[in-house]
Amino acid sequence: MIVAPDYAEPIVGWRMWYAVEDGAETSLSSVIHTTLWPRGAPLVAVCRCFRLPVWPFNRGGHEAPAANCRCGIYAATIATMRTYLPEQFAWTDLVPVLGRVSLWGVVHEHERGWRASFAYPKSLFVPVVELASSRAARMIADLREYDVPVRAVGGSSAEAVIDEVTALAAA
Amino acid sequence: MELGKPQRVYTIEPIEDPVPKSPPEKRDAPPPERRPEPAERPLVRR
Repeated sequence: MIVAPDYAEPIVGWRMWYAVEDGAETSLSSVIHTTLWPRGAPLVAVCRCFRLPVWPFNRGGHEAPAANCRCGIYAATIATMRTYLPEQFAWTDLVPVLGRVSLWGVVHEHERGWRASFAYPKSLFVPVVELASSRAARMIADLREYDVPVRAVGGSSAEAVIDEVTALAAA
Repeated sequence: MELGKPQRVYTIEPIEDPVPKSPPEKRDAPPPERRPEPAERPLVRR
């Protein structure tokens, strides 16, 4: 039996990545797992729970996202990012990238965001205040290889970055 | 990132591919072949 999809437009949410200098180029990396996001192809969700080979109660793999798991590709509302980002900015020496992301496939909607089976960036904002100008320019040029709009933002705090990004996204 | 309580589950099959596709000429494409100008064409004796 063929089941018709519920919607024909992707959900667009917000999320954070790290810009990882991977050899000669810069890639987007997920924050929790160090998954590098491919260029020109969707990221496909994989459940990484219960991957210990010696774990005696291994439930086996399942499609991601699943209802009774935390797996899937995450995105959130901008209001959620406003509370999440300051903590993440404070914790890392890596270069954070904020942006919008398209989600599709199987999507689990939560109170403050979504978990999905497929995702691809839609637009990217790179805070450049703490980067040397040559490094910032190179990163932005590399991230444009995702073929989505990439903009530098100048805010010096997470709150300022969110404010600037919100204004740019609304323009 | 804490997303809160689950609300519902749905499926999305986008009509348009959310992954941008660069036109072929944008990425590493060889330059298009140029047709020789008349002056560059070899003379052919008929």
